[in-house]
Amino acid sequence: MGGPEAAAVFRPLGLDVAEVEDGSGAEQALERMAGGEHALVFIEEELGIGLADTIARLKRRPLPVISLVPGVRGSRGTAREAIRKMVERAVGADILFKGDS
Amino acid sequence: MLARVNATRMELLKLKNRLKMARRGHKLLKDKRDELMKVFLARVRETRGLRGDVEKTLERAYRELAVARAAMTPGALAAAVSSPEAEVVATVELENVMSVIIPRLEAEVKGNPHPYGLGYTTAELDTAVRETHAAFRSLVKLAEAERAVELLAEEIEKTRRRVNALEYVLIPQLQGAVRSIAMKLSEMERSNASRLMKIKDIVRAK
Repeated sequence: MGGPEAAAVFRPLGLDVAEVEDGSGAEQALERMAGGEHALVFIEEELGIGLADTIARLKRRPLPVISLVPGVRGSRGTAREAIRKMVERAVGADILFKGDS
Repeated sequence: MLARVNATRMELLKLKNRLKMARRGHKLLKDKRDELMKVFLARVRETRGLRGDVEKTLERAYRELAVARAAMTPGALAAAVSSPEAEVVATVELENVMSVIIPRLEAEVKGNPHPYGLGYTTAELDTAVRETHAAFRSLVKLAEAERAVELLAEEIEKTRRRVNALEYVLIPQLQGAVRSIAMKLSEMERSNASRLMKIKDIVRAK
């Protein structure tokens, strides 16, 4: 799921692309994709930030795997931040990302 | 509470067995936690590397695409990519890592990823699509690894909570109960012995 740029590069590979511009359409598209036969849903990072609640709800199921990918405006480090938080939760301290990021 | 139990031999035996069981459970859970942590940290490192790769490759793809967009009309670009000839073949397996169910994803692009006439499109579009294609495999691996990290993090947290509950609550409680019963029993024995001695004295005095 992403804007027209993402659609242009991913569609030729045969991925099922939902071209969405803003939050409301994105939520519907995500629900549709998660309910369908998709094992893996890529969401452009900037859209994903707005969809955090829906994504969190869908993550309780084992599939589909939902992944945030950097959009045309580059990475915002959302996914990296999420991993850092999880390390902190699991280990009890931030042991890997100290200093950088 | 465990401290208020009947001071009998039966109870003492039962508690001792529970304590042994709790200690064994604690050791097992601790091992599980350590192992999960090992897998978890390996996966975390994997995601960091992959993230970097994916971001760089996609950035290149978008840069090329920007050039292509400048050279072509939006309509022509949309038309060029609108009917893909390739398709994605994906398989999902569920893997069990220390009782955590983790999805394993495999996906590859089959067919021709350049479904447009070469005459109508710019070379940059080819490059953009090729870069995306190159990033695709890493993207899938990344999605899998990040999901695994998530699931493992949850399990580690749960396990750690259980280890701590055993270590700081249940085991000390059981130990306390065992000690207090043992003390009461030996106290009873002593009082019994002294009573017997006293009775013996009384009987002898007659």
